[in-house]
Amino acid sequence: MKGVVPRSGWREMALWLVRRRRLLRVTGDSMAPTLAAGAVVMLDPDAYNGRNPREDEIVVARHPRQADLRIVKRVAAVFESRAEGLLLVLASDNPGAGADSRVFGPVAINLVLGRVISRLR
Amino acid sequence: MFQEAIAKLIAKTAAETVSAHCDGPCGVYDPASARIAAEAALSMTKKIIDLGPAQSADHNTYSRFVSIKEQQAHLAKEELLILWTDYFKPEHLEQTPDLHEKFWNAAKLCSAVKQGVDVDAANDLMAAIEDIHNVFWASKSRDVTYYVAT
Repeated sequence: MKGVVPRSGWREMALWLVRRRRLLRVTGDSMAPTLAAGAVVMLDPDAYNGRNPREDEIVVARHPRQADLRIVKRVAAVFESRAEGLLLVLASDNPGAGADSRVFGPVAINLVLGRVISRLR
Repeated sequence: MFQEAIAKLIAKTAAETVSAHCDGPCGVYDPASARIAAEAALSMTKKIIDLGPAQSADHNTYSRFVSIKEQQAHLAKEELLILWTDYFKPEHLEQTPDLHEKFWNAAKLCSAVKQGVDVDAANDLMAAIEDIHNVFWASKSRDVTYYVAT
């Protein structure tokens, strides 16, 4: 079973108050049932300052082809490429709905905006 | 033993890292490296099945087979991912629009071969790599015959 996203507790909310979390609303259902359309998630923008993403974590990244679009996906693989540094293969939990690395290929680490830690709803 | 402990201590002071694989400029890519690893994983999968339920005397052999299978499946995945990102460029998508999907499926199969003892997945992986072999050499306008070692 893929990892679920826990509900935000007091600690998460306090971290949001001191701006260590960002709130993002999920549109579309490519991450259902983990995150339904309309879910509001807490993003930790500093999650990967000290370490690399790991498989199965849920991240928010810039779409490789549409800079203004942010996508929320699960990390399917992390690997070091020879030419382009660290890359992530990103997957939808609900593969029928929404583009992922099947469509746009692996995503460079510098496009990753942070890790989804919890959800408010 | 004392020497070993000192060596470990000194090794810990190495702050800088160095990457062990050639960094881009070599430009040498060949799906054969993934095929060899996948073929090894397929062979180990078959050997594990042939071994049957492990008797206690076989546990060492059994775990060695499993470990080689996992290692080789992992290696096949790494090789495929590097080919995917370092060799193939956006312009190749015109010739092969489902390029990403092909690599995605092959990488998924590597995980299945690594995690289970699954001959079907191992055979599917070989077929996926043959397909990638064809796409790869077609992109270089070369006709290279696919072959396997066993």
